[in-house]
Amino acid sequence: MLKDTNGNRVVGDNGQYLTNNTPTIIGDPNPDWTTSLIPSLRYKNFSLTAQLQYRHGGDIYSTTSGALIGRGVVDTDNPICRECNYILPGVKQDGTPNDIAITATNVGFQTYFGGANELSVFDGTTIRLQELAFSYELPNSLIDKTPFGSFQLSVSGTNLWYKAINFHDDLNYDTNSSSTGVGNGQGIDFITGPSARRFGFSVKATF
Amino acid sequence: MKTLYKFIIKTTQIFLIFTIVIGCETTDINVQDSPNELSPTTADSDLFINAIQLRFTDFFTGIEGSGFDGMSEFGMEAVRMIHGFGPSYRELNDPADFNQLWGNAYSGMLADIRAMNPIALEKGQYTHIAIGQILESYVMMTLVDFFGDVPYNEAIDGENNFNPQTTDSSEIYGSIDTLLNEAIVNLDKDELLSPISDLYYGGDEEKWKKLANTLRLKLHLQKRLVDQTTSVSTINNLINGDLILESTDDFQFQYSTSSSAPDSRHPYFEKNYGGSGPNSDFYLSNYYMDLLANSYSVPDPRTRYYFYRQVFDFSDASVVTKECITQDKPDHYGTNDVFCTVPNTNGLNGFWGRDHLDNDGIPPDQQYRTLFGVYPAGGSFDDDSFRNVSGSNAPSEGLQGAGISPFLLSSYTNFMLAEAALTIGTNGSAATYLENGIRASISKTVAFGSGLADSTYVPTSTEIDDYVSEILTEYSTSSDSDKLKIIIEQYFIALWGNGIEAYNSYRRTGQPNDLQPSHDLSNPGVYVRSHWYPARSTDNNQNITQKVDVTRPVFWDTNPEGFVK
Repeated sequence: MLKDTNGNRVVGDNGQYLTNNTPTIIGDPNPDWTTSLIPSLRYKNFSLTAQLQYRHGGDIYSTTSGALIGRGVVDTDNPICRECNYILPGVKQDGTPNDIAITATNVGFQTYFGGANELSVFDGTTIRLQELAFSYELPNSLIDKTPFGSFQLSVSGTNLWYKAINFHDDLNYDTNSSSTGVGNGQGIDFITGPSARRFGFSVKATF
Repeated sequence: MKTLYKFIIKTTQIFLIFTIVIGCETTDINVQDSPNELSPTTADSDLFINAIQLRFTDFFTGIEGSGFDGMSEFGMEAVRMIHGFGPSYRELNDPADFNQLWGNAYSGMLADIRAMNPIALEKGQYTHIAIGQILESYVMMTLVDFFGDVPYNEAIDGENNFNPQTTDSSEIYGSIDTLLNEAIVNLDKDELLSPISDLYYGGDEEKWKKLANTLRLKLHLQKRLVDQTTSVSTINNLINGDLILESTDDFQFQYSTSSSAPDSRHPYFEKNYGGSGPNSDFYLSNYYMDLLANSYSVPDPRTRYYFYRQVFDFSDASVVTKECITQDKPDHYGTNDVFCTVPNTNGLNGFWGRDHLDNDGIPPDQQYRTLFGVYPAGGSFDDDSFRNVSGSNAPSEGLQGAGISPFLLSSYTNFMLAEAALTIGTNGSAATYLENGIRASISKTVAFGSGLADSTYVPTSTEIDDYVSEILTEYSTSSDSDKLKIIIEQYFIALWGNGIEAYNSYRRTGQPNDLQPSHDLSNPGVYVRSHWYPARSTDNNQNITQKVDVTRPVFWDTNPEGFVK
């Protein structure tokens, strides 16, 4: 996005942001830090284990967000005024403050979706319940007379819940989505498919 | 057992000593060329020529379906020969738009030429070398015309230099002039082997020589604003020599109708006649269609060859299919400027194009848009049939894509000479050159579409004579600046399919001075006096910094600020 010497965004004569054609850094995909918490609870023969993850920072260039916000399909809770006029914050090319009104379509479609990449960069801070498992082990008294040494039943779920707190609320965006697959690419999302939530049931027996 | 063990230890030791002491000297561990692939030293110079010529064509016209637009298209967008998106000039083209042709020119063509030269020299194939030199000079000249200073002296040095510095553009022009002269010398030498396949001239050295001379004419006409004296003397010398003045000498590439393996149809044909309607980014320009249809008392004889209309009027135009139909002509449009629709002044209606820099989205108008016609894209002849060109029949329309890329035609030479005669007083009469140019272009176009044209609509020689004489009458009664305008306007018409010369002529002469204003903004910013550097070059080469804007003129353009808009 084109900026003047004071760092103000510059709009063209149509009131929309001009893009800067000189390559510039628009984000750092590396998280500041990550951590995880693995609590394990046991009561009699029941046990509950979980893995909670937290990722702090790390920018993500997300065209999924840009496209959905730009098309106005994720603001049902708090829709923007579709008939209003808007003035983008910034300055005109001559340095005076922007005073050109544009429509909601221009704000959404042309600015968010089709405009500068910088507007589709989000902070990737995420809280995540990566895994939760609940298991029950049959008491010894029940399996004494069977050939089993132990018998355990468990239900588990992976990727159960996440919240990217700095993304759009209605988007339910998963910061683990990546468009570059296996490789060095990080923090780039070109409308990647959503991540999966998985459930499992397992029986563990020893003889 | 112990003896055996000792024996093994000893042999291993000896073997190791031999490997360390002798092995390093005998084994070449510096093998960098894959033994499984052809190396440049085993290459065939004829295959090089073939690749160079194909890449040259792609540089000019592009390749459909791979995001590779040719230079010609960018030129045509800037001068309203076809529509370009805006809304301002800095947004007309993105740096990434030029990536493909940049790579094609440097790592494709120029690298091939550099690799071919030693092989050709060894075999005494001087014609090969000359062809490489001529094509290199055209490509470098065009890169300078569009981008300004580009890498040349330090370019194509392989792994020795990944970040070549740019060379001053006037210096590149000087090197090109030398290169063209060397090419002529090489053509005069007796070669041992001629090129087996020459896609442009069939190995005819005389034609190549004419091309080299005509390219020198182009170069010195281009430089007339910075070095008029040299331009005048050089052009006068060239007029006495051999130039491309006959259509048989035209420098062009002929596409075929083959749609696969490889697809060698004209890229614009595929953009227009692909079956699903014209490509979203491909609109004809209202200004240009109006220029042909309505400039004089009758439509230009080439109109039906250049454009194919799918509808006969604008009755289908609504706020959905053509948004501007409901809008008033903006205040910044003059009374003579065409807006939204091309007026039906001379009996031809339904030219469905777009205004300059119109940045609207793409409406459902594929069945109404006017398409490229038979010349030069190999499409359909407009015989008032108003077919909806889409569906499975579309690829068999017209010449089925057997069009041409018009690099340098005999008509262009005449227009260049006309401009030179009028502006810097070189030999010959500008009016005669103008007439020759118009006639050469009309007869080439008519001949090109003769297999398709319905005899009802083929212009008769009387019609052509009347049309030409109307232009010449206007010319003879005009002031000098209007004379220049008429020459460049007619040059524009003849240049259909070649945006490079049109873009250069516009910046050099400032004519035609009544091009259509921008659709969305009254002030679309300063005109593109040179284009953005390709993103690929600024991303990878430390020594190229992207321009701040597109307003910096190239070295031969000394015209004042605001000269063109």
